Amino acid sequence: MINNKLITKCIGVVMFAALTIGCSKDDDSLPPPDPNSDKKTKYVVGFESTIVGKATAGTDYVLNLNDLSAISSGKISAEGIGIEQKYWTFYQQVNNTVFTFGQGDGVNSGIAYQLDKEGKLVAINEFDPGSVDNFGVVDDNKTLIAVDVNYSGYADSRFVFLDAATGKVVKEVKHPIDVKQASSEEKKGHIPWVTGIVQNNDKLFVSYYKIIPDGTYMPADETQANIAVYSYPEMKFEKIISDQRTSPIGTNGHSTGIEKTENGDIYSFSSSAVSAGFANPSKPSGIVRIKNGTTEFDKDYFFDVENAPNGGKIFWMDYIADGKALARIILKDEVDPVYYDYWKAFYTRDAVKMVVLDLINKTVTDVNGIPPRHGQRYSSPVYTEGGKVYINGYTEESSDIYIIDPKTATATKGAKVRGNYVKGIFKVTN
Amino acid sequence: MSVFILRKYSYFFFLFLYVVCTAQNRVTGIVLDQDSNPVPEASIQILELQNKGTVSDFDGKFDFKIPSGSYTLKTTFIGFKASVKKIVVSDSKNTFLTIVLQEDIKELGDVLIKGKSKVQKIKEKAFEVEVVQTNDIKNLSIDVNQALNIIPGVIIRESGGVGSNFEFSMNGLSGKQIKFFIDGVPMESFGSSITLNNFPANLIERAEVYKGVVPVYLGADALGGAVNIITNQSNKNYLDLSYDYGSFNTHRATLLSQIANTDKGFLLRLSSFFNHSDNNYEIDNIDIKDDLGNIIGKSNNVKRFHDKYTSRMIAFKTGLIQKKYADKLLIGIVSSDNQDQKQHSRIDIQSSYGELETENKVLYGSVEYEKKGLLKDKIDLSIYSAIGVNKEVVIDTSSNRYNWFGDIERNNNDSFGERNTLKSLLELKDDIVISKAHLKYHINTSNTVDIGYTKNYMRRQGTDAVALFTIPFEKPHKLDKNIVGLSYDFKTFAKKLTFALFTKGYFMSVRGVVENGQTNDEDLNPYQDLKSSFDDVGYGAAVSYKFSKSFQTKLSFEKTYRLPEGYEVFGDGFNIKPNINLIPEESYNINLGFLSYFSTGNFDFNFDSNFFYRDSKNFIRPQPIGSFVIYTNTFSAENRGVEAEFQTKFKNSVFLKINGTYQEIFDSSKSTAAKNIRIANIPYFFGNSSVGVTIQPNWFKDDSIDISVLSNYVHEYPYRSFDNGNEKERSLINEQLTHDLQISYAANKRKYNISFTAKNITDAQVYDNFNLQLPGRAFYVKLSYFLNDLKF
Repeated sequence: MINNKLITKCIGVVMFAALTIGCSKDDDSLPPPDPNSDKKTKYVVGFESTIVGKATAGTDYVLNLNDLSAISSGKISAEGIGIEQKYWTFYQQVNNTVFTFGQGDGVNSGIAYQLDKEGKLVAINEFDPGSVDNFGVVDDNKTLIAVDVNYSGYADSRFVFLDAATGKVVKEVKHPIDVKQASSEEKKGHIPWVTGIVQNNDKLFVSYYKIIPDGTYMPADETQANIAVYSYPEMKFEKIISDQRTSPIGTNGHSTGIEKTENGDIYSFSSSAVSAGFANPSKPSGIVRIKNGTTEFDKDYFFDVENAPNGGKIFWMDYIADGKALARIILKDEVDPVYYDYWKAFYTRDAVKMVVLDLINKTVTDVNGIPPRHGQRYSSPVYTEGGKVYINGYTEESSDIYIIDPKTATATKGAKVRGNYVKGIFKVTN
Repeated sequence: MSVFILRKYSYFFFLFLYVVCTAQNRVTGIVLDQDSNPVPEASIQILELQNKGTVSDFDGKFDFKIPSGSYTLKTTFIGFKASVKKIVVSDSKNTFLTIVLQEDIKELGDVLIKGKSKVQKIKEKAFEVEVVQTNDIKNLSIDVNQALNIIPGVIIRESGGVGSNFEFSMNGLSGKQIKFFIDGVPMESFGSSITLNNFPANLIERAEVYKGVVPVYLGADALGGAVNIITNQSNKNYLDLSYDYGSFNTHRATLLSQIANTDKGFLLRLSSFFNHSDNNYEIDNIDIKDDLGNIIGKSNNVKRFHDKYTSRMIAFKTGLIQKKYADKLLIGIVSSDNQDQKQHSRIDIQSSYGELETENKVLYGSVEYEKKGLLKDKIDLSIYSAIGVNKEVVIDTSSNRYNWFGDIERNNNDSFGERNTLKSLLELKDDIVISKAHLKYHINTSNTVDIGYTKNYMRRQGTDAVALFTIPFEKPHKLDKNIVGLSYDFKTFAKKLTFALFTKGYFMSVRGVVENGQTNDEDLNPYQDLKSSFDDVGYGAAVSYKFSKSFQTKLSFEKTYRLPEGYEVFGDGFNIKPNINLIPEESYNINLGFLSYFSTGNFDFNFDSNFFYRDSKNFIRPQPIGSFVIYTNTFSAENRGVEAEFQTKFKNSVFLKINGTYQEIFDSSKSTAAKNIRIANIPYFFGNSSVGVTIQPNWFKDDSIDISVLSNYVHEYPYRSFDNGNEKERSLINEQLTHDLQISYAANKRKYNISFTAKNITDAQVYDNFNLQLPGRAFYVKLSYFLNDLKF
């Protein structure tokens, strides 16, 4: 039960959504004042409160803030405001709908929020999504795919299609992706753990890594990157493509394992870190690419981030724009010396540093202005406005919003977070 | 003149005599009822000497010293006719008296009142203790848990109907922090089929509830208090049968019987219960979903379809009684089991199960020895030892997915169970040894020393016939808990001042095998033997002072511990990881109580209040870290509260009782952001009342009718936070207000009984823990038969 909630950290391909907004609907993301319109814009924040008493996690709240200054300065708190969520929650945005996905003791709760005419955030639909923990925005920012993956045991992965306009589940497709049942040769078999979903024209790419289905979350094969390719929208399985230059794509819970850039190229990241759930990584942490229009890895491109100057093993990455991505690099990659655990980067508060990766020129630049040793368990889809990224980061002492300029690799401190942390920031319009 | 002086100054006079120990003669004796059962707490007055008197102890014994002369003793106890006895005390000769009280039928009929009065007396101990006499409720459709729920400061939160999970909470501390005993034997290793919600009230005599400060003879690491269930320990023949039937196909039957021959010195006792309920009560607000999972509506009055609970227990005891070398030397065997269907997730009703269930099987044998008055009446000794096996099985092997209407929605035919992501048939087998010894040394009538020792050993191992991979507790762990207590008790004459000072030693060792961590290094031994031990010393004191007959105050304090459980230290070898750095939970508990009693004409009044403070540290909480859970000492909490109870009765036939508790619990963890935040999801204002009348209709010989209404109230409280979230949308556990109507009729000195209970008569929608809905209106009829003086 608890595990369902534990490992689940994701970053949606909302990036893609943001991009789509940013590129094709520029006027939507920065609406000019229109005297004939009573359109209202709000900032929705996915917030986790402080753990109190015998609770094992903070409570999640959907906060509804009026303007960006509430995020860029002052403090963010759920005191007296916010809509309480039942369980540990993922937040995803598609167009002007924010979906929340909560996971409890075998119970799942999905809610779709939109602004009503008065600009109040209201739930337009509630649903049982299953135990989904990875997401991708498709259909020109109209649909969210959520995938129900298993942590143990053998079962098909369930793709749930959610319509942004109505907030409703509209379709369900099941596929085993890459399940291997245990056999006498290979005692434990493996199951897929999805780390990213990207649609490019009539193809759907699903990155995943294989885990042993015994409840330990240990990877089954760490020698190659894998992506399953489906025809879209038919969702017909076509093939699995692999790349031996690096390890499996993505880290647990983060849904930005693969992302599409402005020109349709798809970039991935592979962590290879024992602090991020890998047991015996033999390949360097790095980035591979699928060029627009192809369904194979680009043999001519490999960004060895681990061995690049200033580099290291990637914990998390999210593409921003203009060939640049933000990433968190693990400072000291090791098995937790206290708990002998392979997921240290997820629960320590000083595991990573923030860098800007230039995917084209293959450079790694430290971001100044954010604590050089910080942590973040679950980075929600990063919010970008005016070319700047709004993101949470925490240390032992405090949890804060940072405003990062990827062009200059500098950050300024935004609002102080009076709670555990902010998982996601979204801008919605009625 | 001399008589006058003697009267006026008798107290000081005798105190003086007492102190210098001259010119006085010892009078000892015992108060018995007509069946030779000891009568505790009977009041013995020497009419010639005002202010002179005593009270019989728990064994009916009493002891006082007076100068030579002729005296008149008046012995009284509620429910009995007063006994007046003349005695002659001569110099340097000990006098032994046997005082036999005759039951006062008229007064006995009114057991409700009788019970309360006795309760009142036990409450006068220096400890903050509450006593529930089951005499009051034996005839009703009620289990021990429900009987305890009416105690101020206590709240029992249930997650459903008969046999459902419950959390016993006392002054804000709960769960494993409260320890339960049966006749002083710790129940903590016993299985889920012998918990308090399985025991119908018939099977016990009374329950003593110690709040925060626990006497040493109850040896346990009770952080927040202890409950001692006391069964009938008399040496008489009796037969007690009951059968209870009610809503939701609920059946409860009990049998309690004893044959005791004090001449030949043997005893044979049999006790047994059977409980069953379909628990198919209706609940509301069930989501109606379309095929894709969208919630398209809510359904009310949905019948629970997979929540049957059955439990059985049979206990047999036999051996020698009233021998020279032993008051009691008994062997016993207890066997119990249960089957418990689970209807839904532990925290949310929306996912329903159709096949998941758990089972418990318990078997243990015991031997006990008791001898009072060893070494010239100086020492009382009791020893108990038991060995047993407790098996808990979780049956989660179905691929069927049920909706709330009992239909199979789909069958994925995958490896998932209903609750677990891998099918499970996990059996946890605990081998248990419990031993306990208690020695009481009477230095003299005022001073006693108690030494208590309790051992609790457990070896836990898990097996699973269907597991594909790792089995929790496959590598066994062993836990050996030893609690030693030493107490010194002092009481002045007539118990005006009583005082107890005690210390407890907590010694525990846990041995287990832990994994060396996730490793692919084939050469490294993946397992490692580990041992962890705890040695802690707690202490406490309790003092009571009676200002007058009608006013008493008491203050008690204890620094106490709760030692970690085996799985908290060593994990389960699966997804709970070991934490050998875990330290015990500790708490400073303080109570300040005031008891007052007054009487005018036909009215009696009692008003008791208690202020409590709990400063608790190092609470052990499961902490999700990375891919696993670990138990850590995560938080501290502070609880301040007050509880009060008012009782009144009129002419021993009409009574009213009302109590309430208010508490504020704050997170007091140092150096975390949570410090000083009020902890949600705990009731903070609650209480209950009962009002009743007893009448003698004289339809049959010695009959009576009791009619009462019991009301329970829990003020609404926030589920997740007191401060966060929009107040209008913040989830609350709504106010709970229920009323139970109880009517019972007893005839022939309570030999034949019938009762009718209507629970939740207003059919209120009541939600408790995690907003899980409790049963609505329900009716029960209970027949019982008591035969108290079987003769052969």
